[in-house]
Amino acid sequence: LSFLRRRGSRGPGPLVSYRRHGGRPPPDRELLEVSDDGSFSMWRTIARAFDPPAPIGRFAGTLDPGALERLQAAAGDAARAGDLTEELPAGSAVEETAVGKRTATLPHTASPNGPWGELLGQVRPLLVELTGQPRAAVGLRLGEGLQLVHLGAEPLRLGLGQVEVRAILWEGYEQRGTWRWAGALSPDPVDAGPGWMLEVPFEHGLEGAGELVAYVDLMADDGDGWLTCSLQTPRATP
Amino acid sequence: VNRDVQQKPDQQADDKSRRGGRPAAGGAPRLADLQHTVGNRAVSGLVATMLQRDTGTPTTTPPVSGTTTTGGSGTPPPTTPPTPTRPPDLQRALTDRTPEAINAVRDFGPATDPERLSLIQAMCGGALDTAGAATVRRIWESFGSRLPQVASDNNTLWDQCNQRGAHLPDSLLGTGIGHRDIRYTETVGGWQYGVHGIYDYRVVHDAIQVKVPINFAPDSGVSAPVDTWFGYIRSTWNHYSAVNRDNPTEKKAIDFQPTQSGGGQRVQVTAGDGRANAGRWYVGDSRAANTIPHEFGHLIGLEDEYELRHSDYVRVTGEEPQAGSGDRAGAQRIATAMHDALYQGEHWYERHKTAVRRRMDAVTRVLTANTIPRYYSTPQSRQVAQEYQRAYSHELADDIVRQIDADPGDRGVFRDWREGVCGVFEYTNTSLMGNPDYQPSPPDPSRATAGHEQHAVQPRHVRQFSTLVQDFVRHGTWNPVEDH
Repeated sequence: LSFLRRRGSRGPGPLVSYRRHGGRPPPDRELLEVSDDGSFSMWRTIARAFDPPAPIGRFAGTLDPGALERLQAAAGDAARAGDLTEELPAGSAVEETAVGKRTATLPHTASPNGPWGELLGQVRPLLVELTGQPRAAVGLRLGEGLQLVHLGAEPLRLGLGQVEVRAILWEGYEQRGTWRWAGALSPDPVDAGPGWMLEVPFEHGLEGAGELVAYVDLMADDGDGWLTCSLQTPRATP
Repeated sequence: VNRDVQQKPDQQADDKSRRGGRPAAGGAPRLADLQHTVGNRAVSGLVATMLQRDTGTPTTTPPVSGTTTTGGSGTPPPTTPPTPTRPPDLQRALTDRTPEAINAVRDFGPATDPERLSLIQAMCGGALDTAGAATVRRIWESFGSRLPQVASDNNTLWDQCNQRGAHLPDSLLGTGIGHRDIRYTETVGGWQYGVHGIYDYRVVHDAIQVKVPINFAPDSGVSAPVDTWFGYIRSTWNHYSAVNRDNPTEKKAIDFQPTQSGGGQRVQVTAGDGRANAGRWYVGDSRAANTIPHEFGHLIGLEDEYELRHSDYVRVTGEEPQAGSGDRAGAQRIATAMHDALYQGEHWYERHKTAVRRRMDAVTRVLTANTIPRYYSTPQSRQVAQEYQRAYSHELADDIVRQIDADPGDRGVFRDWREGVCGVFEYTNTSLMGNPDYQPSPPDPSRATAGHEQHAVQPRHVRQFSTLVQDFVRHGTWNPVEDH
């Protein structure tokens, strides 16, 4: 990742580095780096890794001053607290949060007390909020049909040779109906740029009361190669 | 002799060949030995019962107070088999079948198994008082070392006793009942994870019941869809029986019974659709039908079967990794390119980290050019790993770790990159404990389409329970068989 590589040993390093990865396939790979000046770089892979599900791809921009101030305070406290580790329950993604030379290595479900808990309470919501500043990303739009929509000013290379599309009709937390399609939307990689949009097969035939949610798995190139990414539309009732 | 003494004669009903083959001449000395060992009364009961069997009469003792009428024809009465000698208190209990009479019995040993069970049944017709509870326990204990087996075969009666207040301790059931608390660590994707399984089991007449207590702890405003989740677990897991290979008519269903219990393993229940682990489940999980049974697998002590090195995969699954794509020529080409990228030379004038960076970039180019996603294997990447091992006698993932052995600049990107690339050439099973959701199109040719491979739960996942049955019954060879 270029934004991580740019950080050489000569520089002061980021204010906070957050990396959530692993878990049952397709694994999480959610990266966020915030600098002291409030600029950030982020990569999102699995939409449901945080609630609500958000677009995937590359994001960059600036934190608002209030958020940055709170983050700086929490990061300072965590740095003074020292390293933190917890046992990883089977199936967990690993969440590594680094501040200076201090690191918390935790399961993604951890709720630590103290400074690291305070910091994670600041950082985790950013993984959703900052998707509002896309650089090269893709989202799902559910309306008459289902579309993949490019977000941001830069292109994102997508692998659409093996795509899975699902629909679930939810009523509360009961699945009233499910539908699945798998196939190729394009035999060759696609460079999705500004204005790019692609209609996705969505002939689900699900009817009746409930809330329809769409799920799409595809591949995206983060600059270091292909990753399997998962998108889904948010639910009105969480 | 010891075996015969421990086992009631009426338990040998199917062993007539052995009894029929016994030489008559040898009877007297062996009888004397028995008398010496266990006493006259036990031997007389033994002989009487054997005589009943040999004459084909039922083992149930006719009422002593009954009178045999002969019709007054003047013909001699038919010869009746000798009635076993019973102490009067036992005889009265068998006749009256009242708690008072049964409580008064000093020794239930001379009664047959059906008689003893019928006395227990009679006692448990109503609530048991202290004396009644003690009597019921004495009757069960009169089975001696056979008690666990008899209680297993008559588990409903055992439970009825406790419902009536017998307070029979589980310890009487021997290895027919037990508790397992399993803890160990597993390595997945290069990280150490804790696996913790807890369950209680009990072997009954037709099943081994596996009770898995789960302590659901819902977040505020959330309620756990317990019925739906337990339905997923039962419909996924309850398909196997422990079957005696030597006599396949002997079998016990492996019956998983998830239960909601404050004493069980804590599972946080959270709104939305997130990544579940063994300790947190999501009510809106879109793949809950697979996720919940998978996490349940951890709660009975099973390991993950994804992102494993070859040796771990073979150890965990007991099988070689699934076949690759079958495109050997294409995979050989990629394997060669991977080897060339990893073994790029290191110039004398450059830092080691510079060479590592160059190798990383070269490997990335190979993966990208061949549209191989990072982090988990595909049929194509499995084929590449196999061709690599054939050509170079090394595991590709090991060579990646060996050749990309230093952080060329940033710890985060280095570890992230290496884990992602190693994951491509590690192995993931398509069973429930691996990644059963992986359904590529076109279909993965390595995924078998018949037999056990179609089912997410594999025999290895339930083998610990057929072993528990084996340890309990102590005969035959019991294996898990998918039969329902």
